[in-house]
Amino acid sequence: MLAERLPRSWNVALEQLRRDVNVLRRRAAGHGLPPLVTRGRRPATPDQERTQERSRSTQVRELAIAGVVPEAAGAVTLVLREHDGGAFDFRPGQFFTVLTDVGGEVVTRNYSASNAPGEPELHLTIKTKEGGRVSPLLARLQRGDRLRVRGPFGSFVVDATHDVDVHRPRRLVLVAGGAGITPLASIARSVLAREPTSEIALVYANRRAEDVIFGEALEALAREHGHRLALVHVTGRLDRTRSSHALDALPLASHPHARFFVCGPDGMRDEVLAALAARGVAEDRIAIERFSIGPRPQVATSSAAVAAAVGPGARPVAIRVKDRTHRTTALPGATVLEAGLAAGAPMPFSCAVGGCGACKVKVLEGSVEVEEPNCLTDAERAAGFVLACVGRPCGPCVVEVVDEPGGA
Amino acid sequence: MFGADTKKLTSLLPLRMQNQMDAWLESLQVLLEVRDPRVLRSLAPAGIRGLVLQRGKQGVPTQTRAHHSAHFDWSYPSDNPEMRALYTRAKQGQWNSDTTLSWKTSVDPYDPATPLLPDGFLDFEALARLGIKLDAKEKQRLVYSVASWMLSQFLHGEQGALFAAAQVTEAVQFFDGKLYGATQVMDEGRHVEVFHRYLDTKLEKLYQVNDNLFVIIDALMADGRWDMKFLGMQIMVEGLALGAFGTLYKQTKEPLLRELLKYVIQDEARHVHYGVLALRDHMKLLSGSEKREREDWAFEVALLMRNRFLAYEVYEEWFEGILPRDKWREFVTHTPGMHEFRQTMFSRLVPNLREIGLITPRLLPRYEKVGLLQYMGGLAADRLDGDGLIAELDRAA
Repeated sequence: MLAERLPRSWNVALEQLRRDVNVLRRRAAGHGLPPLVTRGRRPATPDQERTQERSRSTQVRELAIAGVVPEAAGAVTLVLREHDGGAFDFRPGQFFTVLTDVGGEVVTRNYSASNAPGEPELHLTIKTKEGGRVSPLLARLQRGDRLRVRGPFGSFVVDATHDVDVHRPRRLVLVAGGAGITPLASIARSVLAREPTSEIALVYANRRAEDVIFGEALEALAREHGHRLALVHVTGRLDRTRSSHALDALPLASHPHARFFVCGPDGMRDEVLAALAARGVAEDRIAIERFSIGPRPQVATSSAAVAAAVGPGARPVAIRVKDRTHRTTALPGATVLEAGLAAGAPMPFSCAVGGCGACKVKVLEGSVEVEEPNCLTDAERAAGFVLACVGRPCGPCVVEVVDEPGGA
Repeated sequence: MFGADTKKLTSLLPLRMQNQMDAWLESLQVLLEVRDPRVLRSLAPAGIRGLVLQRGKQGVPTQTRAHHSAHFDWSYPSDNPEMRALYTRAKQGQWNSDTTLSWKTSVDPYDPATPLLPDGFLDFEALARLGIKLDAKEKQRLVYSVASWMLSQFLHGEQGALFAAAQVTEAVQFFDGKLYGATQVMDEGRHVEVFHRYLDTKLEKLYQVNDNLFVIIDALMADGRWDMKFLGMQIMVEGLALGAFGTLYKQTKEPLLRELLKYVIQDEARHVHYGVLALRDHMKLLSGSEKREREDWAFEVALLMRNRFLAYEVYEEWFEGILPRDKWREFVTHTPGMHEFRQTMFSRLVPNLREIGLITPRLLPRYEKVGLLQYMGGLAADRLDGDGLIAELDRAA
């Protein structure tokens, strides 16, 4: 790139010129600049510390439903508020775990935030799954109801705004399939609003045109940000050929520093990854959200279940983290991660559905049953690793959090 | 402003384009008011950066270049007893924003018991005559927007004041002035903190910097002459802010905002006083031509200031595409709340300009033409202190 060979002061001047010309172009077309400043992350003031404590904690909390917005294709957006009206702190692309009571059992599902962080509202967009246990219940919720959530979690994120230098803008190519649009919508909204020079291209595939979620909102975003958001809709299956065509149509996708975010059903994801591989995009420029890992088994956290479980079924678990051993008991059905966090062990984790590997632990004694499929490699399995978030102790056991140099 | 012909021509364009034309013509008009070529040289580049390129709204960061030189004095003279006294007063007047203000107060902008702005601040009937009928909830939301907008502009002004105070502290030749200036830098930092904290955690809304305000800040940052920085920041921006804070203090029923303004006003009264002290004698030393340049400059900046309060950002958020921009200007100009704001702001500013000798018979007709002459009567800042101001405002409320 030419820009990288110029002295910094020239780059600053060029960037300023680009911004000036952009303003003049917009104004000539009759468009002004946005009247409001999007409020971003700030260092903690006492008011905000609460928010941050909350976001750090893995505790379940109750949010009020301030609105239910019907979206296309039977999806709904739940508009949630904290009881104190505080702003939600998460990184664009992260998800929240929703806990729902289904016939006395607590069932968890993960939903990505679809709005930008730092707002007093959290938007979770939920696609109703026919015959599903949870989504039809969630779709029936109304304004004034309450929802129990944990989070935010997940590493499918763009970093915080303050890491970005206007002189080195971000170039993101987002590829969404169906309901996989939700984390990408959050990423697009916050990056466009907060980083005046970053650019985004979005490929959005849906089986039918009427399935497009956020159709109007995305169009509005594209109008507002002009050339900074390129939008390509694909109708039908996003196979390898269609992916290649869509990427060819987007100059940003050929930029050597572009980063790719892919979120959608498993089949689509593999096709997109194949198309990217064929274009020679290195893996470290691609982030993937595995969002359909199948129904989660229930977790015993309701008080009735806990009362029933504190008996012979409970399994002693010892967790070693950095030379310290935390001893706890896992109730039947509880995962190693849940048992560990309940005992205050500082265990790393992220997606909490077996998809990211952040909570990998080594089993030193006893045995742990792990839900399949998950993201462990054969080598990791052979070395005795399990995923704490989807691993349940079969009896007394000892596990260790292994620090990996440069690991997650 | 521009003739009926221009109006007729632009009315053929779609509303969006008409509005852009209106904005261009308004900017051009401000620049055309400039009579003195030296003033044009100093304001035009800032005018283009602010009004045409809208640099203040382009996103983070906005970079400006400074051209002043720092004035060192290794003999540490005690050279201005009045400034020394002000320094002493400023040290005593410091307050801790964390503990002085009750941040635990929960602010509900829609609570009828504690309205941010009084009933009747906006003339909704006039708005209805322009074809915009709002229901009760929308009216509340618009008032909340206007209050957030106003406080956002105060906040942006305070950021300008913070940097200008730092520059002035470097550039001023009175050593006592430098010591005092250090307290003002601290004051402005605190003001940025409290206004931002109020907007961010209580009102949860922040508007972009107004283009006219940005032009003033940009021009001040770039001007190498310390007295222009003083004139712009201490007299014009701070003087106007003092008037605006006073009006808001009188009008708002929201307890935290009232408390916040009360403390800010006490600091601001010192700042304007400092400007008057530094400039009153200095102006007498200038040559006739230098002085005329400053007189014209002050007039132009007063004009920019007046235009700063037209709340176009609120218009863009609410009515762009529904209402022509010039109709909004007419509405804001005459709506009672904003009208009173201008009254008090200029009734503080104009006496200060008179006190330092910048309103001369030559300039009177121009002040009169733009309707600013009516504010000549009031007391200048050197005869008013913070407590006196608050007492006066409390009496008036």
